[in-house]
Amino acid sequence: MTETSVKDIEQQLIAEVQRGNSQAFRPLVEKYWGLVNSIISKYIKCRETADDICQEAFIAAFAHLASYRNTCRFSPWLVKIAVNKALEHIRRESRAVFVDFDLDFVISSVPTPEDAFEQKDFFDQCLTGLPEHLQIMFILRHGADLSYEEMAQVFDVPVGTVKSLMFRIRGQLKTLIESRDRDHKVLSSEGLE
Amino acid sequence: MQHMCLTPEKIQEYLDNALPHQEKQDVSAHLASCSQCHSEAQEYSRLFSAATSSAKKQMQNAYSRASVDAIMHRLPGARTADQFLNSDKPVPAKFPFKLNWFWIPTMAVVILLIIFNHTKSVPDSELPKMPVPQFSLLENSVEVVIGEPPPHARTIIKPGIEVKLDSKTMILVGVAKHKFKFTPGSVFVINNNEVELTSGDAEFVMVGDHENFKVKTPLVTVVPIGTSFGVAVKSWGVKVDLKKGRVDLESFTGNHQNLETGQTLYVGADGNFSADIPQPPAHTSPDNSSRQQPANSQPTGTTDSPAKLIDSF
Repeated sequence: MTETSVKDIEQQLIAEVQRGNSQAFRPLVEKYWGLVNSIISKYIKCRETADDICQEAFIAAFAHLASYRNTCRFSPWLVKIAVNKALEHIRRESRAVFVDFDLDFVISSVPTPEDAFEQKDFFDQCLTGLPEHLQIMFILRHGADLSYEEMAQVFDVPVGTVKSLMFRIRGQLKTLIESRDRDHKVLSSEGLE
Repeated sequence: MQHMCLTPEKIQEYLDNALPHQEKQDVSAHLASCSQCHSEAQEYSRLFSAATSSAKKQMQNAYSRASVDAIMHRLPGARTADQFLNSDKPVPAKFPFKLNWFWIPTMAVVILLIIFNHTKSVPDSELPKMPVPQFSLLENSVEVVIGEPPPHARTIIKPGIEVKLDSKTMILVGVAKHKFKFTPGSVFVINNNEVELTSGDAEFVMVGDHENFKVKTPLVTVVPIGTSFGVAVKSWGVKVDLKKGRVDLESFTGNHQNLETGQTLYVGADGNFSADIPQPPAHTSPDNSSRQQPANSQPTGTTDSPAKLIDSF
């Protein structure tokens, strides 16, 4: 159901806003705050500033709702605005914006299996070692269920680049997790003896 | 056999549900017959689960009311998005000219009263944590009526974590003497003292203290006062029916309505209440939306659903 019903309600709310009922925007803000905040927080570590940029992103989304067409989903459209707002901010702050999609440099910074005991912690640690845009890709793919094509639109890169990045990172993570699990099994069996 | 039949990329595309229909079926058939590929797919599936769990956790950062209010206050209000984009100057207030001199001192008095009576605003990061009310949904227990709930919702519903029930699963959630019934297909989140029902049907029986308890849906918030009531989130809006007691409803537009015992109210996408099922907007999007039901279609009630077979309350 549910996904279509939610989408229908969402489209109705957007239509309401486009007709001039700005109050209809509130449920959209409440629904997507977590997603937008998680993305912006990857670029902006200060929580207060991240919250401010979140607000800017939603206000910009409202301002541009006239140009939104429901031929594409709302969440990728909103995410693109959020990413742009975050990048605008850090450029204003004169920080270098690292958007290099070179993986080899990145993979060397992934922690070793010994660095974390809990697999969940280990996985989270692996992710936090990645550049922001790759962490965001994981959130978008696995948290917000964006397709490869939608993610490519968010970052203005070819679909092939998104796929290549995701496949390689996942392959590395899988190898690390398997290696970690093997090591832990060995440690456990030795402990029993 | 040394080599895998499916590449890791193909397996990931399959798990991402990114393959065309026929190719997906071919891969599915292969996985059913090839133990090596099946094992590889299982490893990736574990990785995907960990990734999903991690991503959902990161997205759980709840909004603060102050942040949302700040956004809403900065919106242009009655102006359309087009006017907002194109206007260089603010839209003038539409007070009748002759009343200006009456309204200015009146507003000044109101503003002063608000300043004196409002608590000092603090940055979001310093907002005190809400005191845990005596009534809390954190101590809950799950009773599976039929089907199989997701692993994280089999014995207890953890706060802030979305629960999606499949079409064959129904559960009861007990909190003290209160009982909630979530029907197949419903999607909800339990927070400290509220239930967020994103879609589907749920019924609530409140017995005893339930101060500050609310049921929130995309369109309306239900505040029960000693009641038994049902909430259904549908594609055309929200239906609230009251079996016992009284509820206060507040739509997202700020409209309020009380519901009396035996009464059913509907909330449309425009935030208005009515005794009839809301009509879909006249100019629906050119997309498929054949899912928007015609006016005389029955709401997906519980006439034929398994819910009727269960008389647990």
